[in-house]
Amino acid sequence: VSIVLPRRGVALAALVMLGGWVASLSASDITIIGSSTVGDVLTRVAQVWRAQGNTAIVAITGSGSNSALPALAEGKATFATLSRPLTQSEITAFTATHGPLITVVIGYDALAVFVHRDNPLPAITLAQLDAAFGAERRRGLNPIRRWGDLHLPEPWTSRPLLLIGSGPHAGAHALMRELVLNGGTFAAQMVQEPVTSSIVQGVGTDPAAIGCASAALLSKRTRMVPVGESLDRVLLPTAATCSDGTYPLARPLILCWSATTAMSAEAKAFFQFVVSAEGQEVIANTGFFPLGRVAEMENHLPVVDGK
Amino acid sequence: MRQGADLTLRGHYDHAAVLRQSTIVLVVFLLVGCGGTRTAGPVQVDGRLSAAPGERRVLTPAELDLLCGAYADRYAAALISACDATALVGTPAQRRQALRLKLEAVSAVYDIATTDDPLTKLLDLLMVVTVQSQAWIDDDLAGRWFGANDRHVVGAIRRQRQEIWMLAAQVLRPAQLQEIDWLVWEWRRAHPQVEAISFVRFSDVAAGAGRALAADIRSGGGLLAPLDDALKAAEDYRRLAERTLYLAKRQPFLLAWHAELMADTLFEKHEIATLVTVAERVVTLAESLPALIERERNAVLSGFIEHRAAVEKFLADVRQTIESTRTLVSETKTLTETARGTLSEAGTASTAATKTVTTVQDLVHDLTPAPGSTSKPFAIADYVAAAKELTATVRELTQVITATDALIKSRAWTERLDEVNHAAAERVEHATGQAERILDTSFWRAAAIITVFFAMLLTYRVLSVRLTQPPREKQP
Repeated sequence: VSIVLPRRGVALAALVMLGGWVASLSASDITIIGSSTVGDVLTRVAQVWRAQGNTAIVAITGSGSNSALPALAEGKATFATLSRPLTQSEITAFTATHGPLITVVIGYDALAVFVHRDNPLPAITLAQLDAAFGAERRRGLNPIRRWGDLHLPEPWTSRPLLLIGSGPHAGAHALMRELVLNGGTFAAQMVQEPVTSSIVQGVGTDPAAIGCASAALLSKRTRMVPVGESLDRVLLPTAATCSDGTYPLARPLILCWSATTAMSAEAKAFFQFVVSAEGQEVIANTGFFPLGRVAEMENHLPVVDGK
Repeated sequence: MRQGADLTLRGHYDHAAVLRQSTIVLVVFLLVGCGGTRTAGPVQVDGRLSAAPGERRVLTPAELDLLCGAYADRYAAALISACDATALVGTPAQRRQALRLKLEAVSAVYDIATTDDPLTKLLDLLMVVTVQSQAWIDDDLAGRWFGANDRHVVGAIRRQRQEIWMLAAQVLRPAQLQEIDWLVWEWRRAHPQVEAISFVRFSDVAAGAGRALAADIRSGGGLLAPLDDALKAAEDYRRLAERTLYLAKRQPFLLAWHAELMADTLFEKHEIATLVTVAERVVTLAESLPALIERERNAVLSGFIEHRAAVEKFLADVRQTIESTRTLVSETKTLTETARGTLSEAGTASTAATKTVTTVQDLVHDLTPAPGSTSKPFAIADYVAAAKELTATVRELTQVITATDALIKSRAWTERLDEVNHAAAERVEHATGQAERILDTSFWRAAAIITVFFAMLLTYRVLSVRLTQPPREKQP
């Protein structure tokens, strides 16, 4: 079967397709790979940034903090994002082959402990949280199953705790395991909600419930409980306690890139916007804690690891 | 000619044919390449976030459509039960609000359930039910409206939110669920004042990210199987008929609730409310009227009883006074007059007694039965005792009268009367003398006082004239 096609038309079509392909290859001016939590934050920031007339396309992949540095090493990403501090082994592995790594904290995510507004629990320690939520109880306390175990008076003494948490895909799940359970697993009786905001709502509907979620999700039917290593040093999550490192359930939102790779003008502009007052306001509105001193961050000197 | 030229072209340019075929292959390659760059990586472009593919069973649009319809019915049942339970124990305002919630929420869910696209249906259900739960639970509209009676509504809305997210988890990947959760949460945070949440749809959430996310799911980025175009057209017609039937079956309930709410809202209007208030006051007054009358009657009776006691006491006093007066009168009457009166009465009584005896005798005579009468004859023995007593009484009365008459005519009685009259005359004379003495003494004392008064007046006059006169100048 012979196919008859006008040569000029075929050539034109080929050119158009080729142009489209090239355009698609260069569509993502800025590629960000890593933590889904930071991805959520930067998605909002990118929307505002583009709404101001910036035409560069920002492509964001939320595949987890562990995938961030490998993607950067392979040259797939302009920025890598993590919602936890980098480990020494990660830094060593990257710098050994790709040179110095620049890391910048762009904000904080904090887990808050929520109870119903009628629940009188005054404060809780990390060990008590581990004894309530953890299956292995790696911090060493006996299991906490009733509110009397947390020294609440009658009529709370015999009421069982209703544990509400997030599923394994949520950032709060991993953060809780890391900061509270010391890497342990969750107790089987914990109710797993498919999305994070549902945790706080569940706590708000049952006075015997307790849950951990982003502090931004505080509702009118819930109350945040001060947390600490011991009951005499408990704190609530605020921008100040998160940025100075005193609040124990906070984690930094980190943006990093290779110091040896030349950064495009669009990427520089986007980074400057992220750490600007306007960008930090977007982060705060998204429910995360912004950096404490935004004015200083506008002339930010990034931390260079591995030198 | 044109065909010939093409043949010539084919005949003379075999390489050209190869080139054409190569061009086609290249175009196909490019097309595949472009498509590949679009779907190969889990990349977010312009704010679109997708996740790595999972190992989950893919739902067909028809299955999703059925699941959404079933969910809408479960939602309606739960909300109806909760709102009715709340209305049962609530105030009129709470009852009205429960009815409004039921109508708006269920109408919205049925409205969404009858849209044509299953994915839009799911996303809109997610949006409405989640925002509703945020408003009624997180922002505590339930507590504000229903107070302590909010547990039915809170429980139902909470369960329905959990159910719709479980349904969504069958179609969306965890990362997509998280993104939708954040999108909805951000929308609510930006619009906290919106209470008419039944009209919110997923397209309102975010023009960019929301649309991109929906497109990603529709193109196979989620767990929803894409439909062939030809199948889709047939499927659309089938679903249209199903949706029409679905809504037609449920429309009567919605209409009934509309009517109920309209009536309730009508009563909420100021004029009607005033009218109802007035009517309630009239009814209340009418209901309390018997009790009021009873109370007033009791008050009047008790007042009368109290008054009666006072009147009786007064009457008793009057009677006592009269009695005292009568005693006084009887004491002041002279014994003579009393005796005479008694005598006269005794004489009258004697006459009357004689007449009585005569009358009795006449009566006895008259009562004798006529000859041939069949009735019981008059028995005189029955009246003999009474006649004897009557005769004895008359005799004693006559003796009393005789004795009294003798007393009045006796000398001792006359002397006693003279003594009494003399003593009274002496006392009257003594009293008259005393009165005259007091009168004389008073007269003379008054005369002396008047004289002294005028003397002092004259002295004052003289002294005042002399004191006010200017001193005389000495003559040289």
